[in-house]
Amino acid sequence: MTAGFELTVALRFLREGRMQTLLIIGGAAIGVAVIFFITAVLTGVQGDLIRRVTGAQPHVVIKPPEEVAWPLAAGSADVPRLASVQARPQRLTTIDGWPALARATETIEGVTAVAPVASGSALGLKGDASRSVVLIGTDLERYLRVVRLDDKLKAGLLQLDPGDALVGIELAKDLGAGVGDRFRVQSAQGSAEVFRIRALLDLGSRELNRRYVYTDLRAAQSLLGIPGRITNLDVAVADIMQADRVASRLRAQSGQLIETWIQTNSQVFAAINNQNIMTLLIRVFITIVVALGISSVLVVSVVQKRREIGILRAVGATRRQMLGVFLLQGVMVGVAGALTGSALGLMLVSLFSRILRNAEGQALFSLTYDFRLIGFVVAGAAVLGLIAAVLPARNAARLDPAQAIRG
Amino acid sequence: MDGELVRLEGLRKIYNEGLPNAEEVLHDLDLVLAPGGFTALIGPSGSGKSTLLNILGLLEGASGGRYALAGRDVTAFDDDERTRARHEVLGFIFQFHHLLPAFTAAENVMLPGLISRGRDSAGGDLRARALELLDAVGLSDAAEKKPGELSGGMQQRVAIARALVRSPRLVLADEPTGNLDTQTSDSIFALLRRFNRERGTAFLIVTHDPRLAARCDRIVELVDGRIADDRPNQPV
Repeated sequence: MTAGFELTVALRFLREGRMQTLLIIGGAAIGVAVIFFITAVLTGVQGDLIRRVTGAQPHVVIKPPEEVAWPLAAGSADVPRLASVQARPQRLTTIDGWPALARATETIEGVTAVAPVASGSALGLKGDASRSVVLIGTDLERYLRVVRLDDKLKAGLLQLDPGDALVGIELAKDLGAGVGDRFRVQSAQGSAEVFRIRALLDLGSRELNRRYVYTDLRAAQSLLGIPGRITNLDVAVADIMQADRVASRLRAQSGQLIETWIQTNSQVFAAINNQNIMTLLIRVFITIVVALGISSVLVVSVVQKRREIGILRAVGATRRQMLGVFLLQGVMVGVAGALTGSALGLMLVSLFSRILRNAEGQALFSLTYDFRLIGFVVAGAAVLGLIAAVLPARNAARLDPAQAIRG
Repeated sequence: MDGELVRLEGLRKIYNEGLPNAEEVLHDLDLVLAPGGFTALIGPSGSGKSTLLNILGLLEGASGGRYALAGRDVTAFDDDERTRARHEVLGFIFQFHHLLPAFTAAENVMLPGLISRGRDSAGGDLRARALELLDAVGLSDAAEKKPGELSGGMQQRVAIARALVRSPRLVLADEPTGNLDTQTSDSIFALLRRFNRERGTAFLIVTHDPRLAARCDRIVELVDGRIADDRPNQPV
């Protein structure tokens, strides 16, 4: 008994009501474990979904503005009102002065990488086979920082020397070609060039695998007839869910058209958002239930320990000290529950990471020992326990010692 | 004021004050206790003994009159001040021992000292003092036992040691032998008497037992909330 009075008494009270203490710590632990588990599962499942959806897409694309038809202002007497305005067909437009724009973009907060892309439609030809393809010319070294292709590599090497191409696996099959084979690309502008396949990529969807051809930037520029220019800048951001925020910063800075993966996949994004709101609700309610549990056990404990509280007050314990005794019990129950719950949660995650698999048979989420998360949970549980203990602790502090001793 | 430990002047206590069921249990009471005295407080049930003891023990406030404890007017003290005064000047022995079941005998004795450890540095080695007191009440072997493992008489001895651990000037005892057999009662009473003689601690003992009252130096009799008799006594 060398620790402080409040701590000593709080520990003894908890140990004395062993069954109650164990039950409420168990309850808090299960709550924490569930929160821990759904957080891990959600992070894993959403990460997988986003990886799948965005696949070969950059987070943000900077494009030249769309070309629009400008109708004459209607309404004056001598100018006839236009009956209809026909949308202009979109030519292959380019970004002028892109190196400067790319440098400026890299300095925007939240942007992690920028890569120039010259892209357009073309035909892939080999022997009798002819397939329409999307030609993507880029600086591979920069591009890899924007879109991860290394985990999509099925065969060959990720390298783009002049005359090299990386193609989707379906396209290679359609053309009857493999790594090292040559095929011809003919652009809509009429020029053509022969490329050697350096690698086959699985881009995550059949459509992309059938159409994508990556080449070196210069080759694409000359095929598309836009030497020295690019059609878009592909941008990677630090937090993919914050892509819209980065996009609005980019919009403020340049007159270009900015498109995010969120706009191009709005339904997926909405689904993810709804999921987040639902799990937030679940977490909030679990937290409330745990707090109410701690509270009710302590309320009962105050009633059971009336006489002891009275004695302690009679021998000189102040109201503040009695308040402290019960607040500390709340904190200790919360922390104990959080520690047990974290351990339980880790076990659940490791168990289910072996059972839950995605379409490719990989684990849906990986077991990450994020000790910061555990620290955060424990600190949160301490605060929660403290708040839960306020009401019972005030009851204990307000007890009239004379009455408490008597009965 | 050094000659007085307790002075009550015109003390009144009304329960449910201001309500239709208001009940005045102590009427206009005057009482002076000297340091080192050994006083019995007797009277029939419902005469207000326990209420008086609670007021003297600063567990309850009075409804009127004045109360000075150890030279300080404590009538208007708030809860914190009362708690502190109680802690500094008073010790309690209750009828039903009232030990904390989760603590060992030695720890129960240490409790009052532990409470104030952060507030003052008095007491020196608390544990040594507790063991010394347990030895003085004849329980040196029971220091590490929990109250549940002790007999009623032993528990009351622990309670006495606890009441004395901070060397109070006045110990208030509410029927300290109330539920003990005669032989045990005698030994407990002898113990109180010994502490009174050896350490100069004043005792106010509420009792029903005329045999025990007869062994005190002074007998105060309370009837219907008034002091009916207050006489010095030659202990037998």
